[in-house]
Amino acid sequence: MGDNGGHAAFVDAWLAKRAQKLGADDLLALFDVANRALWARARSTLGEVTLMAIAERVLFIAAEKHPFLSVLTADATEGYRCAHLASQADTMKSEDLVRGLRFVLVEHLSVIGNLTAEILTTELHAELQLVGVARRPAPKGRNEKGRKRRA
Amino acid sequence: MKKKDLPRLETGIQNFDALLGGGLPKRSVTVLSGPPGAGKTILTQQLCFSNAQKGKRVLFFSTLSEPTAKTLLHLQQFDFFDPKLFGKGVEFVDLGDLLREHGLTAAADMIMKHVRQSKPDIVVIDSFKVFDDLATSREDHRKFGYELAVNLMAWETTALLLGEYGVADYETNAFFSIVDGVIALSQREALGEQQRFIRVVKMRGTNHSREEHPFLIDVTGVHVFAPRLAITREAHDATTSRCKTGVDKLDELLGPGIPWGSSLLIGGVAGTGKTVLSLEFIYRGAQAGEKGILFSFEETEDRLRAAARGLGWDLDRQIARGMIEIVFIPQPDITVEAHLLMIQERIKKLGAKRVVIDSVSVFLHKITDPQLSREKVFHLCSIVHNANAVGFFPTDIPYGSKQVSRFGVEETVVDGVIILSSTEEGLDRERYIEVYKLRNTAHLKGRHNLEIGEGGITVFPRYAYDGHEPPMPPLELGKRLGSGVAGLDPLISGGLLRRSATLVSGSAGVGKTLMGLQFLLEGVNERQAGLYVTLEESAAQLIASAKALGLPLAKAVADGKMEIMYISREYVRAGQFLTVLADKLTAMKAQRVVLDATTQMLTERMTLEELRHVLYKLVNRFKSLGITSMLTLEAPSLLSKEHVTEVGLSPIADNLFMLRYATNGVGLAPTITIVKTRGARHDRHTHVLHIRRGGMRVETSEAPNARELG
Repeated sequence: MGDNGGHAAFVDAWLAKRAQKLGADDLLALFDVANRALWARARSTLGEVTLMAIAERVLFIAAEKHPFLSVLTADATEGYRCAHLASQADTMKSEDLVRGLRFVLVEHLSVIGNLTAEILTTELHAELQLVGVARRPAPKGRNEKGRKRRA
Repeated sequence: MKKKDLPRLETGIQNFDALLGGGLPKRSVTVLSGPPGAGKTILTQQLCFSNAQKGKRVLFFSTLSEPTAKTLLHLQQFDFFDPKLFGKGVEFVDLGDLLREHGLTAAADMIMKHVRQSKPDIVVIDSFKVFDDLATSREDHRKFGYELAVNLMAWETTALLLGEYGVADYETNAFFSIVDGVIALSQREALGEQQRFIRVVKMRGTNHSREEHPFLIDVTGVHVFAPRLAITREAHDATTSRCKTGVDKLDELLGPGIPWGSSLLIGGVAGTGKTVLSLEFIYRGAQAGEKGILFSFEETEDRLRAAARGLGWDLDRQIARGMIEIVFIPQPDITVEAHLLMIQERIKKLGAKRVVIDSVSVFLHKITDPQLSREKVFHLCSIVHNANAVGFFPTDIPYGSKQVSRFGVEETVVDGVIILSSTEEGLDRERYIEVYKLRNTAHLKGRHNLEIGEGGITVFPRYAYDGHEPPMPPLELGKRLGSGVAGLDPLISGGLLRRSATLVSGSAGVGKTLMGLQFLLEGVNERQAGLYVTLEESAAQLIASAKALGLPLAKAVADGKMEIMYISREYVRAGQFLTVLADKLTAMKAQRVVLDATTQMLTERMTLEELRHVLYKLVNRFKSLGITSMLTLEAPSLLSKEHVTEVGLSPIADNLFMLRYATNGVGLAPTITIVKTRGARHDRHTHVLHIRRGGMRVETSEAPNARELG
C-alpha cells in the first residue's frame, strides 16, 4: 500500500508519544480509542458501506502480515473490534502487538487516503493527535463499549 | 490544497487514452456497453494483456455469456495475447456455474474472495448484464451493484463491467449512476461501409471526448481513430530556414522558398502533371539529403518507379537508400480516420521532411461534406506542421471549374496553393504553373510555362519586378556602343547607350537583319560577346548571307565570340522565351543581343498584347543583365508610312529606327529614319542606306524624297 500521506511517520510519532512503555492492556485500550475516533470521523463522510469495505481489506492484509491479527473484526458503527485479541495479549510480546496495531492504523489511514486523494488526511491526523493526550490507566473490562475517547 | 491529477491506467490501445484524457482513472468502475459483436471483449482483453505485460495483475470473471473456453480460443488469434501471461498476469475465473446455482450474493462473495487473494489492479466482469437478469428486483440489483463497486474500490482495483446495454439503460437504470464511467461501443454504416464506433458517455473526474470515434479491429487488436484528439497542432519555434524544392526553376517562382511546416495544395485537372511534380519534389529532396514519403492512392509503387525511370531519375536507388518511401493504399481500402493516423506515424517513423498525399481528393473521395473535407485537410496540414516538413497535396479540380481545389474550401486551410493547368494553343497544348498562394512568402505571381520531359519538370518563369530581381538600372549615359553601321553613330550622338533597347522596324529585305548582324560584329571587335536570336533564317543562311557581303560572321561564330540561336516560330513559347534567353545570355556573358524578328512571335498562340508583355519583360531582363539589345519588327508593306508606334511597342524601346523603302527615281532605295533616341539628341532626317560588300552604311546626306517620307 502506497503511503502518500505520510501516515506511517505520523502514526509512529503518535505511538512514540502516547504508547511508550504501555502494557498490552493499555495499548489495546489506546488503539480502541484511536480506532473509534478515526472511524467516527470518516463514517460521516464516507459511509458505513465504504468503511466496512475498507476495513475488510485492511483486516485481510493485516492477517496476512501478522497472523495474530486475524482475530480482529470490524463493526459498521464502531470500526475495528479487538476483544478477541485482548484475550491473547498477555501471551504476546509487546513489540509484536505494537507492530500489529500500528500496521492496522497505518493501513487504514493509507487506504482512506488513497481513495480520497488524501482529502481527509489532515482531519484524521488531527483526530488521532487528540487521542491519549491525558492518558489514564485503562479501566477494568478491556475494550468496553462507551470508553471515553480522550482517556 | 494543490489539485491532484487522478492517477490513470493506460489502456495500451492506440488513441483510446486520448479519448479518456490520459487513460482510465485508477480505481474507477466503468461499464463498457454495446450490442453483441461490438468489440467489448476484444477491447477489454487487449487492455488486460497490455497491462499484464507491464506487471499489472488482472482478474477476468466470465459470467453467463461467452464461455471462458471460447474466449481463450478466440483470444489466441490476436497479437496482444501472450500465453505466458495466462493465469499469471491475467487470471480467468468462470462464475457461470456459481451464478446458475447460487445467485448474485454467492457470485459477489466469490468475486471478492478472488480479489482479496489476487489483489488485482484490474477486474473485469464479462458480462455484468447477467446480474440485471438474475436480480429479483431493481433495488436488489442496485444494492448489489453499489456494494460490489464499493468493495472493488476499497481494493483499489480498476473495474470494467461489460454488458449489452443500450442508451435506454443509461437513462433509466439507476446502476449507471453508481459507476464512474460508461463507454459505449456500436457499429453502423458510415461513409459507405460498416464501421465500429466508440464513445465515452461518462467518465467521472475526466475531461473526456464526447464525440463518437471510429475504431477498427484487426489481428493486432483495437485501433481507435480520434484525429481530432490525436492530431493536434504543436507549437514550433519560428524558423527562418525554408525548403527549396530542387525542381528546375520552380524555386525561382517560390521566392525565398517554402517555410518548413507548410502544406501546399497542388491543384489541377487530370493530366496537368500533379503526380510528376510531386514525385520530383520527393526525388529532389532525397538528392538534397531530405527524406520523403509519398502516399499514393492510385499509382502503385511499381508504376511510380517506372515513371521515374522514364524521366531519367534514379528513384530506385533513393528508395534502396531509405531516403524515399512510397506507400500505396488502394483507393477502395481507404479509411480516412485510420489512414490519417497511419500517415502521421509513417512520417514520424521515417523522419520525412517532404510529404506527398497523392491525391488528397482521392483520399477524401468518400467525404461529401465540404466542411468535413476541410477538417481532414487541416489534420493533414497539422501532421506536416508537426513533422516540420513540407507537404504537397495534389488535388483534382473539376473540369471547367474556376475552383483551385476539389471542394473549393481546402485552400483556406493550407499554407499554399500551386495550380497546374494546360490550355489549347493552336494545335498544341501548353502546360502552366501558377503559385496562387504561399503564406509569408513573396513569390512570383501569374502563370508560367512548364514542360515535362527528360529530366523531369522545367519551369520557365516570366520574370517580374516584384522583389526577385534587382531594379532595372538606368541607362549609362557615359557609355555608348558602336552600332557597327557606318554613318549611323553620328546620327545618334555617337552610338547606342549601354543597356539600351533598340527597335528596328522595317519591311522585308530592307536590311534589318544586316543591321543586327553588324551590331553584333561590332561587339566582337570590341570583345563583347553577342547572341543573335533568329526566328526566320537559319544560322547557315545568315552565315552565307554575311559571307556574300564580306562580313566575318562565320569566323566570329567559329571563334565562339558570338552565337546564333535559331528558334522556329512554330515552337516559340512566350512563357519559355524569357527563361531560355536569360539562361543563354548569362551563360555566355553576352553584352549584346539581337532578336530577329520579334514580330515572328505573333502566332495563333500569341496575341499582340501578349507579345507586348513578353517584349517588356525581355527588355527589362536584358537591361538588368547589362545587355544592349536590338529587336527587329517586320512592317506590313514595303512603302508603309505606318508609324511603328501604332502597334504600341515603341514605349518598350529606348531607340526606334524605322527602315523603309523610298523611291529615288530609279527604283526603291532603303532608308533609315531615327524616330526616337533616349538620353540624346538625334538627327530626325531620313537617310539612304547603302548595302554593298562590306555591309550596310548610312548616307549622311538627306534622302532626296525625305520630305515625302517624313
